[in-house]
Amino acid sequence: MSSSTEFVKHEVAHHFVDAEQEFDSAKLGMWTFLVQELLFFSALFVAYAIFRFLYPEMFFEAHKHLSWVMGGINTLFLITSSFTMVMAVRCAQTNQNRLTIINLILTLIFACMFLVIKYFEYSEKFHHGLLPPALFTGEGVAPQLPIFFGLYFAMTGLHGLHVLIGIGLILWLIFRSVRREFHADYYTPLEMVGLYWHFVDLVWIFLFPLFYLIG
Amino acid sequence: MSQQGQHSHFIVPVKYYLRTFIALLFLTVLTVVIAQFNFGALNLPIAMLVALVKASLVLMIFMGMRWEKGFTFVLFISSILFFGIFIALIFADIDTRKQTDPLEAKPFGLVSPVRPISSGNGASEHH
Repeated sequence: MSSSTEFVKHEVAHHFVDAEQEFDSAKLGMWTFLVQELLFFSALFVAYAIFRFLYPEMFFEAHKHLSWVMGGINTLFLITSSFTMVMAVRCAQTNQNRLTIINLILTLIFACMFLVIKYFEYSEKFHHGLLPPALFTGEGVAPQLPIFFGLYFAMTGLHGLHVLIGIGLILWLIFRSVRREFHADYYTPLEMVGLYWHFVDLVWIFLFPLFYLIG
Repeated sequence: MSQQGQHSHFIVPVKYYLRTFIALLFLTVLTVVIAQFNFGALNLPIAMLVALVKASLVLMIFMGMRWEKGFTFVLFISSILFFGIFIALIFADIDTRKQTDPLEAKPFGLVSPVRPISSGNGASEHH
């Protein structure tokens, strides 16, 4: 594989001893950010737990307004995109630049499809007036139904915002991969965005059963 | 091929990623199938258990926690720990609110932590 010589050489920033230390520092920073994100989301999960504890019947009634098929397809999209993301990082580690780009593009496509489905779900809820309390005009048996949709839009909305940011980051990675900047000796941004993307997947893994599969 | 010795990151074999991916797809189908049956009070714990297994797979393999150094683990565990404290203290409050003495409950209105929204229309509830 003589093509590895064509890669753009990465310069280690002057305040690091070597590439290894630079990579470890980036990773430590990323994990610190992610555990902070976990606590950030935890407030919403606790809010969810409180209201589900107080109004279990309302949650059961409310989940019938959501389509588990759409939620399930979105789960599959996100899991697949996590897999292609991890493969993109791995291909960079083995200097397979073309495969890195292909995997990143696949990740991007799945991420966009997730948002397309989310768009259809949201517009259907808007159409039926199933909105957070102040805007709620929908029909429902349970009087506390607006609380459920407050949680639904806050949690899936914040998650959707993360997906949107992820799309921007993946586009940036594709751009840099095309310029042949990532290879076995330097793939730090790929690895970090990868961690972020798996975290987004992680949040959805919990959101899916909590909103769509209330038995 | 890279010959630089200083950069010796462990490259995870593809089979780990592939098997994790297949396991995640399987567990997603499983959680949907399980949701079609009614286990009463066990519905939520079962769904959360499957979600926890899925989350662990993503965390350990995709995010590479399995091959991670100790400090990342400490960071993660402390975050989970604080989430645990958060939810435990909140529920110590919420779960015991109804256990008030009737004489106490009346003047302070302790049984109602949330003002209920009546008749399905929240917009008309603002005073």
